[in-house]
Amino acid sequence: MTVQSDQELATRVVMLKDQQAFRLLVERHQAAVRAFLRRLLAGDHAAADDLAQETFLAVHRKLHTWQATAQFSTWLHSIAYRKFLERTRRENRYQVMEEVPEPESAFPGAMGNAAESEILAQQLMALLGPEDRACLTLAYSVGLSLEEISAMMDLPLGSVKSRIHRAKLKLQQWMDDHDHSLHTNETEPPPEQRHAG
Amino acid sequence: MLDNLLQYHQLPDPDGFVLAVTQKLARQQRMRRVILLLTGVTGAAFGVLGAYWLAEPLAPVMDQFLTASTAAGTGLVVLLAAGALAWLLHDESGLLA
Repeated sequence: MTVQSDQELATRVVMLKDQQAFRLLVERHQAAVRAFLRRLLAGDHAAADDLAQETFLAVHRKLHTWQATAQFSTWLHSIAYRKFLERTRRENRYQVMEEVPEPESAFPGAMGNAAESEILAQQLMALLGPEDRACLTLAYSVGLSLEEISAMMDLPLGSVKSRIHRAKLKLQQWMDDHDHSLHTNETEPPPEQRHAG
Repeated sequence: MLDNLLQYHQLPDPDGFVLAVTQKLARQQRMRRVILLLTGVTGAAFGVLGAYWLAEPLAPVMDQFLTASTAAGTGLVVLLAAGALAWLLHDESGLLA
């Protein structure tokens, strides 16, 4: 049995109304979209999953507009990001917190537990504004280039760089304040190798 | 350290997510079909009502103009209209599958 590409599956959904093909697309990409939204929503898993469902329903409606020149996962993340922005504007409940709940373990110094590290990473996002969360997550978790992030978020490249830099400084400051054993100075922008051109 | 922390450490399990999405999609499509059906039936009902109201005043005119050739022409127009409608709603009929 051959593995069908995203483009083949999308074509089947659009041309043949193939629900099984759509199901395969959801199965293939649900983890990435949900993880992305959990970061954007600072660990609110229920809200993130609701938004992820809305994202996939929107994908089903708009699939015929997807240009295969862009990667399907990039397009998917851009829809998820728009859903997140809609939600924050609609509910007007987004707020930047000055503090996040204390992690149970000795936090990232002892990064043995993947689940705890993930929870901490999600909770740290509460310290940032919505665009900064998205920039940082897209760059360091999803692995998009700065140019891709700039295009997706409709922000100038310089603005993306400065947002990432500022967000990292803020998180680094929080980490330094909460774990004195850490003496890292990682505030550089995302790796140069991810820059296109 | 921060770079490592920012990476995904654990991806969510699929559990019931895929099923929830497909069920929600099916619900939305069902609702769309119901709305289409209701608006179609309402439109048809008003059409029949209109035809009924117009039938009596138009009867003398119909007697005058309704010949074999106009009846055939009318039939052809109705057939073409039905074909156009079927083509237009082809996408929706696909949802029934």
